[in-house]
Amino acid sequence: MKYFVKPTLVLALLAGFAGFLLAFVNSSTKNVIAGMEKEKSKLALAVALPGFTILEEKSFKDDKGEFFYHTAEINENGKTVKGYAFTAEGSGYSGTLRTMVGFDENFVIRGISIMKQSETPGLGARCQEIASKYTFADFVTGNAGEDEIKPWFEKQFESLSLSKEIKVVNKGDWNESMKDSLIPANEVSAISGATVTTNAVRRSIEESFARMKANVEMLPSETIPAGEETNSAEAVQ
Amino acid sequence: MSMIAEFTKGIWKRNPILIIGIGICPTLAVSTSLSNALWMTLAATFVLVCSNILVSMVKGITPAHIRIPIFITIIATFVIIVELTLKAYQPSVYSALGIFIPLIVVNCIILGRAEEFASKNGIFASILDGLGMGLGFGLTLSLLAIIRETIGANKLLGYTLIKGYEPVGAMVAAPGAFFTLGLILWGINRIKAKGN
Amino acid sequence: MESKIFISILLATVLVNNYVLSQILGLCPFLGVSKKTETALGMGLSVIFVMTIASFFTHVVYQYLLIPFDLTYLRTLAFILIIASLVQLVEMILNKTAPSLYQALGIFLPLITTNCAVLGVAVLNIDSGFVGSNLGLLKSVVQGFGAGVGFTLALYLMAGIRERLELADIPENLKGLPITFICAGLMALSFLGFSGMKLFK
Repeated sequence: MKYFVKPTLVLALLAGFAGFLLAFVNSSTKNVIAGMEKEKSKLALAVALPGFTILEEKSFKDDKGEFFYHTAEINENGKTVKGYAFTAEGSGYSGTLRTMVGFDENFVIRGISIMKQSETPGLGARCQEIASKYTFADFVTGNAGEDEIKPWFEKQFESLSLSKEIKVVNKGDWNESMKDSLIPANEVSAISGATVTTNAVRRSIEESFARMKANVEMLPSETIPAGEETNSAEAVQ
Repeated sequence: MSMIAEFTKGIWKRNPILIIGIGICPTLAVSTSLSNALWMTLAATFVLVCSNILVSMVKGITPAHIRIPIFITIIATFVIIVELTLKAYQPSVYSALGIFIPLIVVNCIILGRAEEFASKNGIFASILDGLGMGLGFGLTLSLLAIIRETIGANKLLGYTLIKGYEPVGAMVAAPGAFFTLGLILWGINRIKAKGN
Repeated sequence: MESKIFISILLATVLVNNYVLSQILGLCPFLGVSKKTETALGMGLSVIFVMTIASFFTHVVYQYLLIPFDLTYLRTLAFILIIASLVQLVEMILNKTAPSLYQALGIFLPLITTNCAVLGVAVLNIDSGFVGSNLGLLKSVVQGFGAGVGFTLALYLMAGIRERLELADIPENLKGLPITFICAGLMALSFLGFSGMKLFK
């Protein structure tokens, strides 16, 4: 009898204690985590469509399931330009890659933001790496200042066209000076050693864009009379 | 053994990775960059010290034949605390370390110290033991991380070392981890052989 | 179409994302039990067995117990306890029903609880988004099985190399763990070659 009672009691007590402790920690971090998630998608939207005013969130259904996207607009040179943002998902080298993609009515990417990845540290995970302008020597001597907040991998998608095929080339880490040759050719430079990740991001963007194009009518604003403007982005079922 | 020796033994004489040879998975997997290594050390040491304290507290009432489930429950509890805290306050660290945060549960160092030390010694000695072992783990991890990050990514703490130098990418991938630890262990064996 | 997904999961876990050589999981048994091919095979089979059923049970518990009660934060604790009790249970059942199999695998089973690859595959099944997806449970089980096969493959290859190394002329200080790590590094380097592999498009 004693052989049964004591171990059961000790284990139950311990499990109870652990349960209480964890429930306490969970309840105190839950709101912070939830707030962080919300903040994250808001930030991602701001990165994907910089300067745009987000109008509303819409969705449509096709054979692959429900698809959510945002509509937005911006005033550029006195003209109202429409923008759209969607989340693209695809499997990378290990696990899911989720990317927020923003583009305008001419199907030019305004920005992308990788929201979730579990790629290999040091290789694929560098898709979220922020390249520092400063060297370690600057850091030690105290010369390192504030850096950019945008990862270089995300930056190179800006100004690429979605209506043409995006090509992946191996030219090493992207830098500002590569812009002139990459953008006209609609190319991105792969993260070295992580072509799989780069391709996965590209493919997920293209697939999701194809779905959106097939289901949502996206017309440039100037072709629509002012009154019907609000209907233009509605889902065609 | 004096209290100071309880603390310092983990650094060299009974270094968990280099001398005993346990806790190798997180060491190799997380040493891709120095900042990952430091965060991992912090997380693992926190779990190690806390579980050592609790195991040492309940050692009187723990029936011997169910001690392993009890230890595992204690360790897993603290791992979840670390998991939630990092997720809430350091989300970038949480995503960088990824699966290796929950895997602290099966880090042999922690269960090993609970079984071998904390379940037989007082609370104060257990704290010192945990801190020392954590430090030993952290130093080894950092050494590995510094070697791998400098050669494999041409960086340290995220800052570029030499501009324009193309790093050896394989060093931050799995093969580099194995090579680096193999060479370090070779060096350790040499030092040990000379000492004798 | 569906079978393609399973084949690609299987190939990915066995070769491309080999748990030992590219994800660096389960190194303790990889180093500890790889001295002889015979024991390596025994350990490997036990791991395949435990990983497959652990994938099944952790998936079921996560989907039907933790999610409905909003307890997903207890994941780590629940999974490690499931694995520990599962290993114990398998040991007892094997002992009663298949003594010969128990004799072959028995000594390895207790070691599996602390094999981080087993907990790793359980957590990765969740992180891969299999829960709630179409045929999710089967995907988890296939991934668990594939991870076990990948582990066995790495372990068996390593054991073969180490049996040869016994006879090789190696510097004294390099013997044992250091040379094993360097061999593992070379193996990992060759497995890195799979990483560019595209499965079905």
